[in-house]
Amino acid sequence: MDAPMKAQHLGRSIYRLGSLLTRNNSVGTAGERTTCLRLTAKKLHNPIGSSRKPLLLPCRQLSNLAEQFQAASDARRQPVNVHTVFRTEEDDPIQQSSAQEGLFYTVPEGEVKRLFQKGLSVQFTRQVKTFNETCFMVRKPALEVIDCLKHLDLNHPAPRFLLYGNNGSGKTLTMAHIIHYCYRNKWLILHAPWPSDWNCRYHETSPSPHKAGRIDLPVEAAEWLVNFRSQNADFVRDIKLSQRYVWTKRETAEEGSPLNEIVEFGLNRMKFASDCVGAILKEVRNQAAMHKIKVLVAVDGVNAFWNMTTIKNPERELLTADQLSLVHNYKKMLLSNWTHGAIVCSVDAFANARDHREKHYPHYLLGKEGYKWLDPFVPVHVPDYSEKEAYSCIEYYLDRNWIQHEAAQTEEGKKELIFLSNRNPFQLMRICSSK
Amino acid sequence: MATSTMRRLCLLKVSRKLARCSTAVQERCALHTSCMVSKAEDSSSSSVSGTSITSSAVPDNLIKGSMQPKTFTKAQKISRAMQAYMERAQSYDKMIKKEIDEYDIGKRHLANIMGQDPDLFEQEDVDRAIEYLLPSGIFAKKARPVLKHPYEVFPKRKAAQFALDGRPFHSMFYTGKPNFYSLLLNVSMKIEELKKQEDKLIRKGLLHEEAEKKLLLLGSEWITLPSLKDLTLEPLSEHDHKHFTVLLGRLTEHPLAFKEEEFIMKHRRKLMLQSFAEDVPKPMVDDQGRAYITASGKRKTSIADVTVWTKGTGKITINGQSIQYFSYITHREQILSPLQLTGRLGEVDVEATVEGGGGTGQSGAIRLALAKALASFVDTDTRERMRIAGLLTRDVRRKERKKPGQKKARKQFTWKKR
Repeated sequence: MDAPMKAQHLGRSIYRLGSLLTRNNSVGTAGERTTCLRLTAKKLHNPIGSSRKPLLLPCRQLSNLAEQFQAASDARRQPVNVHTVFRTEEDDPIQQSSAQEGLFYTVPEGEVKRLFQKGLSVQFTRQVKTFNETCFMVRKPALEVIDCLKHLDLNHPAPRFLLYGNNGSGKTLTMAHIIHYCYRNKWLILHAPWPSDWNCRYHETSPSPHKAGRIDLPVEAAEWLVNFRSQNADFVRDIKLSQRYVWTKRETAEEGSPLNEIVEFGLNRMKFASDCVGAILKEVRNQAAMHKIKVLVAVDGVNAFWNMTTIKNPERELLTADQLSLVHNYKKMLLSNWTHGAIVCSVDAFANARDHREKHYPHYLLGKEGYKWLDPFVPVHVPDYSEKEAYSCIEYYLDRNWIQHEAAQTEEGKKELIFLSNRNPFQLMRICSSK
Repeated sequence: MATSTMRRLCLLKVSRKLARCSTAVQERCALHTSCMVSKAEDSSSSSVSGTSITSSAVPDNLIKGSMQPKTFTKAQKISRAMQAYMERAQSYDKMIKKEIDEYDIGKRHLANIMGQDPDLFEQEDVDRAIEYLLPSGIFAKKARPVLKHPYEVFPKRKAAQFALDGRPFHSMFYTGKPNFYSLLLNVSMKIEELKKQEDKLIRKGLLHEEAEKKLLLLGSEWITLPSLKDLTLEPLSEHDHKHFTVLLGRLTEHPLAFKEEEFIMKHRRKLMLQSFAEDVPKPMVDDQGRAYITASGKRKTSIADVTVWTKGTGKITINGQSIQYFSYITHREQILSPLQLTGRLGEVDVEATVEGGGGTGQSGAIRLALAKALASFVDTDTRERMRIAGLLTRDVRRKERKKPGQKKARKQFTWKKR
């Protein structure tokens, strides 16, 4: 984001809280005073990384060393205000536990580049660019799923987790957190960032060379291959093909050649990119158990697999999503007939057409067919922020100088922001920015 | 009343100067204005041929026969203008008199129709009778039928300003605003008088005795420009009104101003005291010991019913949904404002049902209902603050109707030459 735009953002935030300040002037001043005290306390006793400058200890005349020690221990014993701690140093999702719940951790820049070229929302990416760091909040649903993955018996059929929740409650970021865990834990990741795009925001279509009546999306398939390669750079070299693939008379992939070869071929010959995706998925599914590879299948907005597309066949009829070869292949990954893996999906109202967005429950969004396909699954509810999480988020924005108005430092200001956003993460983000 | 006496006086002067009528005639004139004026006309017409007042004593036949050319002196010309002026004043008087007679008769008729005593029939009874006999559904109250005293219906007019000889009665006539400037002069004279009295008291050393007596001006303000115009019957400007308030302010600041209290209060208007409504309903208590109260509010075409519970967690329910029922932040802020002003954010539970209208209307209706309900839980001071903030007042603005020949209420079609 360029400088003037950011200034505009800040201006808007200031405006929002300006109204608050004018409304209760007297209350505002009293609140400010208390906040100042609290901030001082935070600066003094915040053991967890904060970018604020350290404050000097109160300049009291201390005669001897014993007194100094006494003062220091007194200071340490004072309780830390839970609302002011918002960041944790523990940036390894493997080590994270409920102690870090509601706190932000930073994802290293290299990993963000590798893992999340796609798969984060536009608004969040914009914010990341502005803040110059990628921070995820450690939240309960992600911790629950990660805990399950930790204790998973890989010899059982792959379990299915289904994230659901209100619009903007953080399903995508919960999934990103899980993906980050799996990456750190050396899982192979098969990530479909937003398959709803395959249904209606495709670039070009072509009939499948492999099977008549199916439609290929070469550009989308190539994008998936690029994402797959960057997310699993180590695996694509190690996994060898278990069978021979014949694309044309002249072009084949020999048995025993690395998976990398198929990826490269798919990118060079986009016509076969969709078939390459199918081949890769098939290889991974078959070899997971054999080679002890742990596989994570992550699909955001999985209900798009059972929707209509905007593609028309020669008879001018709209196609269903499973007539796309990409969707057809991916749906096979969602069946629990393979082992050494886990499936994490989310259902999202925005993956549906405009007239089918009333509820956010899996049964409504998936429809009969989709529900049957995924059943049984573990539903994981992603709720709106709790009070602690909301305060933590506001503190984070304050720390990033994203909300600059001084009223936001007060308890009143924070309460106002929480009330207006109804603790919904996306709403809070929007209210604190200009959009 | 005062004006009519003034006019009579002036007419008296006229008749004295021009006609030199006998005292008996004068007395009769004083009693019957119209008669007096006609007399004055007669006398002036008789003096047309004569150059001086004494010539009126000469018999008519002698003058007619004389060969003098018919020329008018300046004084005569002026008196002709006076005549026209007088005629106009007279016709106005006649008209008013006729109107008053008609009003009286009409009132008596009405009393008879209503079966009441005509002598005890007051203006209030007239209004009530008219409303009953001629019911009107016209929206504008001014357009409904009325029967009022002519003095209220016809605008007041100044009495004659100058005599038939063209000389004004009032010494300040040529200021253009004689009544206004005489009022100002009066005030400054009073100030001077008070100063003299003060000096006297200082000389005697008695000023401290008067120090405790003070003029109480609280709860009243200077009369407004329109009222001042009514009082003086003169066209005044904003600047004149300011002049008036400044000068009177100087009078009130004087330590002995209480001596002129009657005069000062004549030019002040009492402010209506706001009723500190103590009629807020008392909250009820439910099974769990939580106080709750229901109130309703309106805005535009929306109607909202809001129930507020104390000892809550700040839960908001609008038609079964959360605050996200409103997608615009401005609408959410509407609901926030009464909670924030009373400091009950996060302390009370709110349940609202709202119907009709759009987002703005619905949020406004909920705000009003919520503020009304919260008023039951807060002290008088906060309630007063809420009232001043406009939270307890219904917003009466409505959608403006679309006009024929226009695209919307104000917007016009694109202008096309042809």
